[in-house]
Amino acid sequence: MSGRLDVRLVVEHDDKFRLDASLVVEPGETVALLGPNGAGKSTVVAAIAGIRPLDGGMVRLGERTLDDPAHGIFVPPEERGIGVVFQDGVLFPHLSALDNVAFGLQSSGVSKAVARGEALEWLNRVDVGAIAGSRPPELSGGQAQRVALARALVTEPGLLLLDEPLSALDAATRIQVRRVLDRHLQLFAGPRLLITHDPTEALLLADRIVVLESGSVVQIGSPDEIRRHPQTSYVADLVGVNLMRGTAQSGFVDIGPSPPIRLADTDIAGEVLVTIHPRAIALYAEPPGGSPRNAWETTIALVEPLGDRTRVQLGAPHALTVELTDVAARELHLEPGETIWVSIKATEVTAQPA
Amino acid sequence: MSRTTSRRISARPPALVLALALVGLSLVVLPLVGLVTQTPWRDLGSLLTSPPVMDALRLSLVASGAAALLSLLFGVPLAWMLARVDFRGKALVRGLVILPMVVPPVVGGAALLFAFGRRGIIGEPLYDATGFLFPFSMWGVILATTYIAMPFMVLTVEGGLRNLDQRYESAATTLGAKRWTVFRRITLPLIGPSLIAGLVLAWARALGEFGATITFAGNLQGRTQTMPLAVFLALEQDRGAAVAMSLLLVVVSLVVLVALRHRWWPVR
Repeated sequence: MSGRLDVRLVVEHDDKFRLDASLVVEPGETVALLGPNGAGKSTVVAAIAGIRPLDGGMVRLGERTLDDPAHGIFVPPEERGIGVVFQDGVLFPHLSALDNVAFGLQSSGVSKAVARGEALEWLNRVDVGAIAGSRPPELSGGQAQRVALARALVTEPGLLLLDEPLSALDAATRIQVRRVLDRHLQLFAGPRLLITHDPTEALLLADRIVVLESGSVVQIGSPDEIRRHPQTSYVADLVGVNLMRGTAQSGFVDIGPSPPIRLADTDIAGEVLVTIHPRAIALYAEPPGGSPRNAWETTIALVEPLGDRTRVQLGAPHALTVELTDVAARELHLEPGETIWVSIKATEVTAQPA
Repeated sequence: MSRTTSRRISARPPALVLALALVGLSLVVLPLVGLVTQTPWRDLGSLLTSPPVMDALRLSLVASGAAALLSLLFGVPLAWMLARVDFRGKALVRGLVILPMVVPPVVGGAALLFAFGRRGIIGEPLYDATGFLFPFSMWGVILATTYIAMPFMVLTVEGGLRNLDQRYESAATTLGAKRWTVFRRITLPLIGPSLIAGLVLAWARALGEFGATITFAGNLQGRTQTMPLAVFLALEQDRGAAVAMSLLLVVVSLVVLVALRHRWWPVR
């Protein structure tokens, strides 16, 4: 029953802002729509969910056309079958967690008892069956988002739309709920569209990333492609970070067969995500000295000019991306295939629990 | 938000502010003191159980209760239209709805006569067809008090609707709920406090209604004579009864205020 989501969204906002964005999400695929505040992300949510009618373009889900102003088609939101997980949950505060989840089923005519039974099953599936009787104000941010996910999935929607599902949570909860999402998104076989302004969220949860800037799509690609080859300086700033998984212990992170990377934080331990900003990496023609730092010799894989700076892709042992000013790049005479020394201060390496 | 006030530092008022505040307070308190000192406590029981008083009390409670419920029935949809639907002339409609709060009640009563009276634009054909007449009947009292009380409901509920995060309703809609289901199961429960506040305000205003009622419905004991009308009449004939009834109205109002104080204004 699930089909692909295929949209071209044109929405005008009093001459000041125009959204014109196309995207496709296949069943079983998670696509992240990534963009800063004001890029038009909430308009995308409203347009796909049917809360805001389109001014042009179309929304197609499987065989159904949900919105097509040129042909006078508009399916109201209650008939679209789109499950939405809203920012900070938007659970109904006067209903228990169980009745929040049962609401959608009851609205489609399922009896209260049956709806509650199925709702409880879903709460158990996302590991919050124990708080079924609690009201939303009593739930933690993480529990609330799980209930919201169960509420969106219980009606077996044709599309799962996640609108900034983590941004209202504190840092620790965010990591925890991101793991929950990572695990439970697989429960849904249809297309999944994640709206976010957080590059880490997009890089970790999505199969593909669509970058939205001022109402237009500026790049589409896999997380790796976007990260390694950002096509505008804006995308580079947003997602062009070096990201590695590893195991942290006493101030070092072990990343596969490569040499461990030194951290300033000696307390963190276990599975971690390491991020290093491309501008925090220095390149030298000679072995660098000085304070404790990460340094190794490597080869240059690729040199890409990008506006007023140059992005350099490095080879083994760590395939890192480095950003230099044009002046620095010229002084180093960077050529693919040449060897060069890398230096990263431990304080520039951030590690967070994965 | 209001919780933080418990940490507030108690301020020492300037002398002038304190003096003016005390004058303001005495303006509210002295009439109460006057009422209590003039009360014929020994005859209170017999005064309050006399037939005219019992009639007036019963009529007042029925009419004000009915007015509050009718305000709910018609005022909530009006408030919803004003808060949620964009239509031409909305400012004018809102002005018209609130007008009875501002117009002198006597004028409102007269206007009601021109609409629903024996010669009114609705009243005359209604009387010719059915023989039913609003004035000089309990229905006239209910109509007049509803006319005066409903704006309080509309304003309160419209405020509640405007403060309600519309994403709750959007969320319900995406879950497949039809508009009526959203209104009944999400919107109404979430504006519950505003509904109660609106009911209390409308009821209190209806209980005290005088001008529109006496102009439109008349002052017939047992039929249109509510407590305020009875008090006004008794002031001329039986001061003791007037004072007793006044005291009763004050007590009823206080009970309601105290019972619902947490519902619609921050305490402390």
